[in-house]
Amino acid sequence: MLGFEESGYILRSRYAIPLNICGEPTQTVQTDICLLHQASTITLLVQEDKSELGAESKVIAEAIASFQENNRNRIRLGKGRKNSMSIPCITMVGTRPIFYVVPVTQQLCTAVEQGEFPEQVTEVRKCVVGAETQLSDGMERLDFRLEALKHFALFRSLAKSLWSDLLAD
Amino acid sequence: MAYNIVIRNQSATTFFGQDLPATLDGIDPEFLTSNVPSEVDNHGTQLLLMYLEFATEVNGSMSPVQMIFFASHSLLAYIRSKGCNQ
Repeated sequence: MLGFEESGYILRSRYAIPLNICGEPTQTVQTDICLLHQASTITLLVQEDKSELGAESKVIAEAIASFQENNRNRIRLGKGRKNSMSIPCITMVGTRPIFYVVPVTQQLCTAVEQGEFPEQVTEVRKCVVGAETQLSDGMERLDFRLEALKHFALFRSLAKSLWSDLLAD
Repeated sequence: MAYNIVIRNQSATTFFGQDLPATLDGIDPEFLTSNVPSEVDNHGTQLLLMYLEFATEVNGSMSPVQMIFFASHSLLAYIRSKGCNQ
């Protein structure tokens, strides 16, 4: 309906992504939904949770795992590693969407892999629909639904501009 | 937060670099004006409203009867989308 899924993209649910963390390369994170480009690049993550904080921490872990996985696939396909990727993410708390852009750098990735605290701050940008409304409000309210859909429409444009960097050789 | 990650809450204008659009294109107007699946003509919109109904229920889950009802409607929507109306 909103045009996120196009030719060459496939929507996957319950997609497990390996996460190399604290020297343990066998961990995985499981996305609720993700959008894959040509089965090799994770371009969008969607995570539902009962709490905003729970969904947020999960989706950030998934973005770091996506950085690792996308770079593994790039190497497999004979492309160079990327030193940074900005991954668009959406969390759903009930029927309330929250939008994120998670920038993952090689420095952050290495810190996660080695269980170290990185010097450089990673700034995740976040936009909450209807921040002034109650947390229990969601898309069942018609005015909120219109507001949410307007956010989704702009987020699609933002995500597509990030994908052009993400998919570039 | 762990790993020196900070979260910056931003307004829509700052986050997207532009204001929200005044209107929406390509969205079934009934999805913006109704909460009652049975009153909606478009089957895809009916399903979306049913999803919303289930998602906003207190226990947040479907009963077996609701699941069968929803699955049959989803299948019907898929068949219709493939142009097999007969």
